[in-house]
Amino acid sequence: MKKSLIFFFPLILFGHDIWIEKKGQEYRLEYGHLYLTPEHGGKKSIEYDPEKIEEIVCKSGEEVKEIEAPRTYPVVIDSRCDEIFVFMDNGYFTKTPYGTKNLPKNEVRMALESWKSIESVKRIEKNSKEPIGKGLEIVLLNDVKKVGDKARLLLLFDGRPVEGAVVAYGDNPRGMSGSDGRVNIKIRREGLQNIKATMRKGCDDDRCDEIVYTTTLNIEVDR
Amino acid sequence: MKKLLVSTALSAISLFAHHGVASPGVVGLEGPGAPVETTSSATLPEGKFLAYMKLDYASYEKFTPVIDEETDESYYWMYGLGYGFTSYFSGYVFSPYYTKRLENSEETSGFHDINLMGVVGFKYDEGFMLVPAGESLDDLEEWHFTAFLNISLPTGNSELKKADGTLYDAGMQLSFGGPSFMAGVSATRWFGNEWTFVADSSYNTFTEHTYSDGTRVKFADEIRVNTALTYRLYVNTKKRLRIDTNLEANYLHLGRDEENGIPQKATGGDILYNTAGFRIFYNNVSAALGLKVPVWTRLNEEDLQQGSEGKEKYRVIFSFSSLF
Repeated sequence: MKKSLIFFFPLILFGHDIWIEKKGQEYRLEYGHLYLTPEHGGKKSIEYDPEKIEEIVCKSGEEVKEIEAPRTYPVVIDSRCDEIFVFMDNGYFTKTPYGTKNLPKNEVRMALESWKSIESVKRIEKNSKEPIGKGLEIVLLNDVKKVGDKARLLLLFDGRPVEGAVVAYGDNPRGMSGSDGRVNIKIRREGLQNIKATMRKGCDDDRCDEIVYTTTLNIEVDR
Repeated sequence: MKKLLVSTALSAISLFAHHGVASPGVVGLEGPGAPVETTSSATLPEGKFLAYMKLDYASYEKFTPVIDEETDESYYWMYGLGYGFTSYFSGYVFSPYYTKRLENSEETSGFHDINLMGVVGFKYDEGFMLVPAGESLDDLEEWHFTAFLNISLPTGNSELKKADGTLYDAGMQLSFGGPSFMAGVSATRWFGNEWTFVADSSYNTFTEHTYSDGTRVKFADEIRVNTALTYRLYVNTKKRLRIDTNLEANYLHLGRDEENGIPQKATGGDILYNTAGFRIFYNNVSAALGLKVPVWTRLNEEDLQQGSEGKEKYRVIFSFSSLF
């Protein structure tokens, strides 16, 4: 399999989506463009590197268990979950005059800008309204039933409310989490919802300038 | 008695305090607009200051061709500082500086009474609630409201005298001589696109003041109702620049002033203004320019009320604010 050609760039930064598609009893991790956009046309999947997946968490009832991450593309999870959370470490990226390298800045020449990309995606089938993941995570605090409802969100970082995380609906930034980690986003279309959040922290070594955390929340809205 | 100053003295108070805030962050260039005169329902972000400056210039119609004591023009400057104590409560202090000039070149000029104002913001989102921190653009599409209270303190001079030693008309003084109070509400609805609707209403009342010559004056109560539509004309995200235009209807009801307990002729009435203007947002600053003209009046003694509200040729309003 062709590996490492496409990486999980920070989603909001680059306009790509990551989502969990449900097919029968299986969940499939997808990367690319979930919806039609003027720039990218219709829905489009792009091959990714499954080695970047660090952790998959499945919550079923009260039980929260870790699932071994498959190492083949596309990643398919055959398990019944009320909520499923996938956590990825995409490594370091460094901009240079010769393009962006998937390397830390201390390993490239003429580094212009560098970051580490940490991403996650959560799909909710049955909402527990509780966190199950780590890093940056979106918790849905209400039951969204239809288009026009507001998704009332709590942004957590390692389980604690986080302020200032930028939240987008699709590719449109709609707000930032307050000091209590709360922010509300209106549901504007049917189908699989693509709610993203991102935040940045300073890098604590010489391998990057900042760490970019991006997370996505998927829920289905039928009408 | 000329009602030159009174009704305009606080006209800005209900209006100047909390519009023109250039919102920081991701919502700044897309959120609701803010008119020139009508009070929008925005509170200051928690922990942020707002520096504010406004000029309301009025040029008055003259009733006679001779140079006499008719009111010529007025410059109402307002300097203010606001602070967001919480996401739903903002406090302001304002210092007005007024220049009122008669046709014969006589004028009074200086700082007027200091104003203190508190603003509480709330909204309707599946029920009424205080405005929370971290509202998204989707939250800003809900109806937002403010309730505000204002008090002016008699820090200005209410005993200004002419060259002949007599007191200027109460309307020419630079203080009301006693505290005044105002209460109001505002409502704002951003439609999630270029359009924003804003309305406000306020009630203003004054305490009676006794001047050094023994005259007791109580300025009339005032009621205002303003409505506005703003339209987002232009946005440049890279430059963080936004330009809005707006059209407003500004209604003002003035009661009769009282002197020694007697209602005075040539005071009071009803006026409807229209204001058309523009507002520019750039980074954390905002500037607005508007032209305000009376389009309908029903003054109590129309022919005697030169220099009062409703008898302006026009007003020009300019404001500048910066959030930091």
